[in-house]
Amino acid sequence: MTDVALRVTGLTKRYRGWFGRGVLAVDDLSLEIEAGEALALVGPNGAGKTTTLLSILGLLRPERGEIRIFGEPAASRAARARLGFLSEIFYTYPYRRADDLMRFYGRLSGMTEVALAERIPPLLERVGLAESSRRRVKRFSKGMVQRLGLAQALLHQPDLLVLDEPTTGLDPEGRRMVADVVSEEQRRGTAILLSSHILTDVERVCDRVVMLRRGKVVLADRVAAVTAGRSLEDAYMELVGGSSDG
Amino acid sequence: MARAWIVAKNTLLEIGQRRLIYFVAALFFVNAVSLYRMLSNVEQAELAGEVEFASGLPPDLITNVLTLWDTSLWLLTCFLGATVISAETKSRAVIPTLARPLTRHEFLAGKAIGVIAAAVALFVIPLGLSLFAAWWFGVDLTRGFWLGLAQAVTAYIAMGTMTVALAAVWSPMAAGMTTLFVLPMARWLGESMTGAPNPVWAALGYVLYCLTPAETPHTLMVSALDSSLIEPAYGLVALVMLENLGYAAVLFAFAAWVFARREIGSDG
Repeated sequence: MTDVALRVTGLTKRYRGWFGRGVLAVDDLSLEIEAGEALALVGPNGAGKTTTLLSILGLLRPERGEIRIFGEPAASRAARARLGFLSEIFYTYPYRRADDLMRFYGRLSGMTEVALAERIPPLLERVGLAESSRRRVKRFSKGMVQRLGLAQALLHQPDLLVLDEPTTGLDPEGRRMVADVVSEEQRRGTAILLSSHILTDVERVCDRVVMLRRGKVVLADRVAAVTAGRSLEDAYMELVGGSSDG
Repeated sequence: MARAWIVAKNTLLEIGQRRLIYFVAALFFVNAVSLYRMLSNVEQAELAGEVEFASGLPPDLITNVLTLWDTSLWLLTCFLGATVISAETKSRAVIPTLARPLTRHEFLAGKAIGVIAAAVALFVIPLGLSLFAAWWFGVDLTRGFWLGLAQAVTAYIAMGTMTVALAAVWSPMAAGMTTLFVLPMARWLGESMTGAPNPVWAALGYVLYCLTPAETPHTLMVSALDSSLIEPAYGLVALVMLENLGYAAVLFAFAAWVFARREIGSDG
């Protein structure tokens, strides 16, 4: 077993159209995250963050490069068994009840009924949804759906947590809760890859930061080193400010 | 494969959200009207002393009910199969599902099983009604009746598998149209071309004929309880059913292979 939770080597992804060369979304990206480490992926809209995350999930096929999760190819079953994912908006099945939906995702991750019964109630309690566990998701507010998304990402106690702008739609209390949960998971030894536009959250929970601009890495360093004498936002504006595509 | 069943159960729940109750209610209404008319006819025939005519009406009712449901469910299976994947990719609910340790093959198999299970579950309604009617009116259920049921279920399995498979690689419209119209037309065209004097056309026709599902030689349910008919070639019907199941399986395997290489979530 390796201590490197995620290793991305030379990831290049181009979206091809019918004509022309297409759009280069990610250009030769390499990064590594070790167990218990939190790495932030930041950059303007269209910088290639979501493309990178979807490639890590095995949902997109890179043009070049390799992605390994605990030494296993990203698209493999073994890799995804150790990965938890929450997207910017937790897209799910609105007709299912919250606890039922958790059971669905847990079973897909190979959890037993006993493990699900032990794990689901405290987890829903942790994200503030204990009282809504029997309600259908279509009756949830945007913030509640996102909290449920966080709970399903943590359900099978993943060793690598991939969070794509997880605080979207959350109030300040919800944002604090996400930051606390991420910190707890990190202490448990979980590796975390966080994509976010909210740089104060990044400063609060991440050890290292990778800044992307038009698919290329423009900065990869420790958060403490980047923020020495200035805020992360100042560093961000200096390096990638004004390059937003979206 | 256990994960495919989990997806299948979720697909069934999703189909249940599509207000199929209206579809079932409409069929029930048509059945109720048929039953009312049949009972009136039986009563009038018995009053007129037309005992033989009256005894022929219950078997007609049973086959009419089953044929109506069978045809409707066949179309419904095609519709569900064509839309069940696109609904999930459009809502992007597929992303957290496929982020789990679930292979694309399992996902696709779960979708197909869910669609087939929905059709078979709905078919239990007319089947139950028909068996009750057969018992009530004392109708003998022939070999053709049971083989007709097998033929109907086989059609749902083949249709569900084929439309889910095609919808995984094409648009829902293209998948539905191909299963309903293009494949039967291609089979007919191929069959016609095999007799062409030009050997190239004949060869092309033969290839086309081989690439399409087999045509059922006889729809058993329509005349399953008609004792005046000569028994159809049951062996040939069974062979066609097996062939079409095999065809659906091969198409599914190919589509699953393509779907496993398809990118998901790149539109956002």
